[in-house]
Amino acid sequence: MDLIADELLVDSGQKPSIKYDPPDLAPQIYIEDRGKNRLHVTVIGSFWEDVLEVQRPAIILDAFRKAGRTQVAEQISIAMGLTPGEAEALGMEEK
Amino acid sequence: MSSEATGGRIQPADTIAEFQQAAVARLADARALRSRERDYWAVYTLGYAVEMHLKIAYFRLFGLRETEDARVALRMARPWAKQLGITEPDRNLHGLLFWLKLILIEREFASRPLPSEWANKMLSCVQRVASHWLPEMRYRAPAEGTARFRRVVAATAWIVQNSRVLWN
Repeated sequence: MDLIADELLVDSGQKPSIKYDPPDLAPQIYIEDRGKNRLHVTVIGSFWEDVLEVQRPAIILDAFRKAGRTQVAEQISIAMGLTPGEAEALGMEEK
Repeated sequence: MSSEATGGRIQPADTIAEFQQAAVARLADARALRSRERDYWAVYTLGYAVEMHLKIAYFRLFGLRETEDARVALRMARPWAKQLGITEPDRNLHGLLFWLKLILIEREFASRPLPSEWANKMLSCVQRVASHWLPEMRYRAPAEGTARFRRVVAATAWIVQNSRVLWN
């Protein structure tokens, strides 16, 4: 969760950019505005390796709240976390 | 699958009723394969069962009746998904995440969204199956069959037991 929250803070300029080691540890956060106050969020990162798929949506929502983006968190209707390997297997490595 | 007289070729399933029969058959096939320790192919078969449950949900959402020809709905899926801005690849209309996203976003579009927690649970289960059910499985020597099977069987069961919520 901290990695995602930190990346959100970097994104909003509240934190300096982070150098990740290894690079695929860097969360890639994709937010789709589906209209009607509904957002779909996909987060790709190798930190999901030991996290069950079913636990990932709640972690993503918590990360947004931790980054101070509570209003955004309330609009997230679909949240999906993928490892880089899963994203590649699903053909989603470049959203 | 329905069969037609034309050249003896087996035609793809055209109706919800046929898809339902096929889904039941694929689950039975998966159990049979598992009992013969063919876990790798059991996973391959389970993926098809999930695909059919998702397509059935989409057809029902589309308003089709049990014995109505579903081919129009199938042909409409890709352009409709494009209009809805769905980015998940359709994988020749076998993409599990594609079908689920189509259903979830169609419901949001029609102001009938599913509760987020439930939708995310379904998404997690489909994601689990989809990341272990890959086209290239058919070209590879069976590997890690038992581990794959253990990872997808619970997710598949949940999807099958709860898929009717997708169109209700």
